[in-house]
Amino acid sequence: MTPQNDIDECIATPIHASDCTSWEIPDPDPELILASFDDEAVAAYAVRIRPVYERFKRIIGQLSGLLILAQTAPAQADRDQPMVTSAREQLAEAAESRRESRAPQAARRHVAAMARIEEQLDAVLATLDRRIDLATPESPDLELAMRRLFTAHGLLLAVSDDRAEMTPVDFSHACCSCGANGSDADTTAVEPDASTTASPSPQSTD
Amino acid sequence: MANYSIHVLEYAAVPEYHVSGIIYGYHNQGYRKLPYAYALIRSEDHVALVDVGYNHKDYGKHLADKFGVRNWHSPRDVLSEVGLTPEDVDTVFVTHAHFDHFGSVEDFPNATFYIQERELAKWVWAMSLPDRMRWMMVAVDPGDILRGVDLARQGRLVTVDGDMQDVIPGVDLHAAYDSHTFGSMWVTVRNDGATPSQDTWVLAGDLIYVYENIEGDGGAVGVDKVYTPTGLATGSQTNLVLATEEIMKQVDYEKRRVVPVHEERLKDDFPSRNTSADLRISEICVADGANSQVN
Repeated sequence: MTPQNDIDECIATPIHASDCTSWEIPDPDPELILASFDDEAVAAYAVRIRPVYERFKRIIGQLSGLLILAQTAPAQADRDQPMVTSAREQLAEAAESRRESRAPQAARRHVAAMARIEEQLDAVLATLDRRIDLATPESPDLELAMRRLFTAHGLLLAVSDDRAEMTPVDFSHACCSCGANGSDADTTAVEPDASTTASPSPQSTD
Repeated sequence: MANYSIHVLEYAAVPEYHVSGIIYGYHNQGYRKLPYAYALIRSEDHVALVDVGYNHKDYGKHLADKFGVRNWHSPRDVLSEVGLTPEDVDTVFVTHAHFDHFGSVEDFPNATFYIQERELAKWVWAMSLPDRMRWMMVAVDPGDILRGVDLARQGRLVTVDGDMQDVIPGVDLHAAYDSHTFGSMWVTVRNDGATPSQDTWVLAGDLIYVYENIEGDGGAVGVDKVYTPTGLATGSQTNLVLATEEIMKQVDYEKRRVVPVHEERLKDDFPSRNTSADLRISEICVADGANSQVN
């Protein structure tokens, strides 16, 4: 089956499974996205664009959450409307920052991907103005909005880069954050018996 | 009469997690292993999971490289050790929306997912806040929320508003708002099906990481044991303590009946075995007529 046939079939399908190929985005290749991170100009671009990346990431989460709530709690539209407004304002701010970020030629793929993310999010926000159209599973608006969000998220993963501290999840205080990357942990003395039986001690508040 | 078998299935681990993150105020106590696990509740009629692990495809390598998360195995591998497949799972209780609990939703094509509505609504709100308040959305993956849209559209995501009884027979959900997260919940199994039950188990999610959260050292306040909450609370440690009291009441203050999935020492209290992949399976209880999965 050709890719076009795949797409046609997907469009004709009212509900897609989460493993449907219609959601798939080509695997990212970070080395190609910020090809010359050692280049000072690329590194400077990464610092400038990171807040935009962070905002796009959160807007994807916001819009996804709003799409869920539109389906599972349609009676709460009034509660959710300020969050739509807020997402719109934040996207406008992020878009302005993105446009103002000078980018070297070596970061052009990153720049292009960021522009596409913005485009997708903008379109989804327009859909949220007609929230009533998103409440049913068969809604073509919902289908399209999801498609755009999956595209935006795929692109976000593609432009993520550990070296630039652009990561899809903030793990800094999460259940995985051993307070350090492996190297920090290795340099800290660990009592042999502290690994599983740390005995209770007086609590401190420092 | 026991209607359900309950197992805790490890799927990955952080070999050295700082103790102060696990137990509030336990600074300079070194590190300990923090298993990542989900809980399996199984009867003849239902296969339910409490949480589903993290999305290894999107950032497994990052977690391994940066944070030392080790030995991740897919739900298919993990469940095969107890004779199940992800397709067998019909119900998933998502205790909260952190990445290591709400990540692998696409691996369970036949499951209906339950999560507190407040958990989603407040994360959406938190994500709208300025950068300087980003701490509030720590450990939440927008990709997980996005996959939740697909679940909702398929009618497989149920948002719960507060407590909910008999979601499947004898299994209840209890909300703990503004505690570990905005809309955390715990799962109570009344294994005799009765109300009140004489055979209650609590799957605590991240409201209780380890036993010290229930029986912490009370020396500083002149008592033997005190509830000492987890280190991470997007809500408050006060609400964690209040939730712990509710949980303990449900089990008549019997610590053994509260199952913290991040607790490595479950193996000391319950029959356990390690798989060939070095993942622990702890057998909390076995339903009448069912076989042990660890002997």
